[in-house]
Amino acid sequence: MKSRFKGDLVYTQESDQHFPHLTVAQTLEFAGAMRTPRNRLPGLSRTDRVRHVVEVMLVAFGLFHVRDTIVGDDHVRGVSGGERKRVTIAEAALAEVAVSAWDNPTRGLDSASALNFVHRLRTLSDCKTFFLFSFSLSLSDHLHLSHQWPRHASQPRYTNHPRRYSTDSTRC
Amino acid sequence: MARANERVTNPNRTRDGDQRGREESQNIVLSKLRITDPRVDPSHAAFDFDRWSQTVARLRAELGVISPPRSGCVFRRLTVRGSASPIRYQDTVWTALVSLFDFSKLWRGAVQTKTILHNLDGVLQKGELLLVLGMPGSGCTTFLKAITGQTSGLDIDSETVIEYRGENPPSPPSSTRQAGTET
Repeated sequence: MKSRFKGDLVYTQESDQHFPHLTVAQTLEFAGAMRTPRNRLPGLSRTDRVRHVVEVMLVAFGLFHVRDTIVGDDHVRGVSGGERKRVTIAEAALAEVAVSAWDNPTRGLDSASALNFVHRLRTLSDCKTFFLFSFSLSLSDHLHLSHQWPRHASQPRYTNHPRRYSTDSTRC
Repeated sequence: MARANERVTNPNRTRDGDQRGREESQNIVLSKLRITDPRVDPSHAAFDFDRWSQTVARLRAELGVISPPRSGCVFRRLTVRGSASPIRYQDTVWTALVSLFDFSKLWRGAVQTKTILHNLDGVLQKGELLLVLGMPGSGCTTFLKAITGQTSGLDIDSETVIEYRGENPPSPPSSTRQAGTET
């Protein structure tokens, strides 16, 4: 699996890891440059393509106003925690891979940003397959429960019901 | 709701040279592709991400550019085990030196393993958004890692079959190289 599908699978972990002294735009430009394919729309240079896609992702995930601010981490002061999370999300969205797994991507995001993020993933998933691991149920196609819920909680309360769900019990 | 986070500040607040440079590059890209729709221009206030994605997909189809791969996934008898010793000691300089001469690893008994995922079967369609919900510790992260090949420290059962796009890898996964990028 690993040698044959390298680059087609992405796992986004729950805690953000970035180079703290790069700006948001530099982080995304690096990620975009690493994932720019050779087959681009005709007449488009690599630089132009990267700049355009990064600009789109900055606007789509609400990072345009911090694009020249360093990302920072626990020791270096940079963008806020929610914005750092959105940088992670934008970086993974730039990758355009076949199967993408997101581990609790909306942790620390306010509900408006979380819903915005799910909308964006919905749009992007027309081009790829996604896993989503979070607590926003509204736009998923399928729901996979990996723990047997007790009987009184077996009717989860959500407004837009996923079309199908499967339950699977795992014994911890 | 989708508009809430788009363009929260006035773009004219940026440095003029930088802004001009960006507008020029946007103009280069959009003029090369002969697109005049302002909803597809990220430097415009009326930018719409959905429309941009649709436009990109349409252009790729029209111009015959290879689009990013779409893949489904099938997994059968997915069983994942993790192993760790019950007590872990902090390494020091002394223990690092002594470990060179430590032959007890040769006859150490079986390490404690714990089965995290038991015999899961499933299908992930192309373009599907799958939500994996579970209580903390129930194996959600392990499941995601197993599907995307981030299995360092995890042990996938030999009977497990994970296939992408219908292709079955001929050899079991090795533990040294990693398939996907971890962000």
